[in-house]
Amino acid sequence: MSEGAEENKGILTAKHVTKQFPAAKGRILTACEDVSLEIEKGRTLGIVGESGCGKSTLLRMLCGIEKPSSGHIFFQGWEITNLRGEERRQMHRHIQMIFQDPMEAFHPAMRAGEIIEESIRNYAAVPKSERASRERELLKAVDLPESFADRYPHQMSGGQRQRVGIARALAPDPEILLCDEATSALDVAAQKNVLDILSRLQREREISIGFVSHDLALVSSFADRVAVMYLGHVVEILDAEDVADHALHPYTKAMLDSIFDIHMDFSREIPVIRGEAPSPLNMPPGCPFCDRCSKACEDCRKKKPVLREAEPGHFVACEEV
Amino acid sequence: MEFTMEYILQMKDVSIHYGNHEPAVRHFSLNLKPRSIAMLVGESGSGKTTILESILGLLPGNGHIGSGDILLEGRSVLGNTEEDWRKIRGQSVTMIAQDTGAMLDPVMTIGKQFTEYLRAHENVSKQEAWETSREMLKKVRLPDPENIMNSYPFQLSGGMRQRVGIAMALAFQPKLLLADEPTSALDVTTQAQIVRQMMELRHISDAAILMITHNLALAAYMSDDIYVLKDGELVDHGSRDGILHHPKSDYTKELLAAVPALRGVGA
Repeated sequence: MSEGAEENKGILTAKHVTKQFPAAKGRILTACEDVSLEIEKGRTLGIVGESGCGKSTLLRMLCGIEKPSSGHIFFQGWEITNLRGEERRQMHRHIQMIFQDPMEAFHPAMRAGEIIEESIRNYAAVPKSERASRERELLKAVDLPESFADRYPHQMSGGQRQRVGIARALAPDPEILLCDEATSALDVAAQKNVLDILSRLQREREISIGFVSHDLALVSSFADRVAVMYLGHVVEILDAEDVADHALHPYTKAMLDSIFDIHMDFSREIPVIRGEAPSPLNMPPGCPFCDRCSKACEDCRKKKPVLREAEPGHFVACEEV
Repeated sequence: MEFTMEYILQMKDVSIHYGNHEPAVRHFSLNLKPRSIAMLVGESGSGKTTILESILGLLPGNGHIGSGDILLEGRSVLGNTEEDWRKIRGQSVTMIAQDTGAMLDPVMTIGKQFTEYLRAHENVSKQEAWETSREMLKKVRLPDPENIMNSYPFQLSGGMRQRVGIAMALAFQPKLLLADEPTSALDVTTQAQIVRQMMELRHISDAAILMITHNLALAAYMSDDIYVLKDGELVDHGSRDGILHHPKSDYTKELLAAVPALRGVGA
């Protein structure tokens, strides 16, 4: 990855970001290790991996909720790694987050209108007299009727709540939306609806999206680029359309094999990868996946593979493929 | 006359109400043969869990069966006393929840709670119960069962805890296994392990499985029959291939179209 090209394309860029948390008995939990990736302007980066792989921590660092232990984060070339106070607040006007469970992210005693209005008040320079019309406009942007402003979170379905969550995030007119498992709690029909809205908003407003999910099939059908994470490491980055047939990393392939698809051959035995992921308290010195990998050799156990460009635009952290 | 013993479970025109409200499940019928797997799919709130709970007489609060009949091995469960239920629950009919981890006692080792569960239903010595527990953990392919027996739930991963749940649910060789989204909380690679496990059941015992899932592709992979529910009503039911290739209701078609497909074939 040449540094120059990276800065030109990426609207939000993480460079060698590591996040460690102190754990009991003086041990250290490494949630993310030396992660470098970028979200391109007007496009969607999917970040996929299993629970505990550090994908949410990464997203929270991109959004300034967590501070990296080391490494840098840039928004349009502006370093936002360690912002405080007013600067940080200004940064949030550009980068907004959508959470998995809006029931927990909303105040239960605030109506949809108030939830959205609060965000307008905090971040958008909209005169008081225009707030109401802005609020209606935002509800409309997520296909909700004006009357919805009077609803409390418990009076909405999961899909409707998530749409209010999107409306709230849109209030400051951000350049970037970061979604943390934004559709995981929804059933398939509501999920499709929320994704359709996000796609439309992206087209209309040229919003860039970072989309974290554990669902590889979902991410590959929704995103433009996909980053696969395993135990705090980015192990592969490639175009979403290449995931199904051109993924290289053994872990990405193992995940692909584990996906049930309505068009699959139902007599095919689902392959199972052995073992469990190692603990992030106990980072192995070599490749994080080596204990479960069928291709692992002695070198894999000793030396940590780095992301290399296997094909143009396709990065993989494995020496054996 | 119908030979009802052919089926492990029969639900005949069952309507379930909560209090005096409109029924949460309306005129639901289902037949389940030994060794077969049936899936209940549908969006949240469509009555899937209510149906599972009704089979074990576990409807919460003011839930009750308004009309219809539920037969387990040909015998109606509607007039069951608590004593009857005690013999059925946990022995001939068992249940796996979405998060078994949340159902295990956090301050008791797996071994202790597993043996306690066995001894609550059967008059066996501690040693025998310990042996059986260990055997069951081995059957669900948990590595190093002795170590698992001495572990606390928090020391196991979500997938391992779920397998402990399955092992416990299978200990009495149930005739019917009810599973409420047993893999939704798990990662895909772990899900694959549990699915393999559940399908291998047919080789371990004659158990039939009735399972709830929102994952249509998973439902199709595992099942013989699929029941599609919407707002408490059965809108479609049939064999796996029937539902996938010749769905009768628009709702089923909508569900199928909404499944994200890896290679975009579905879109």
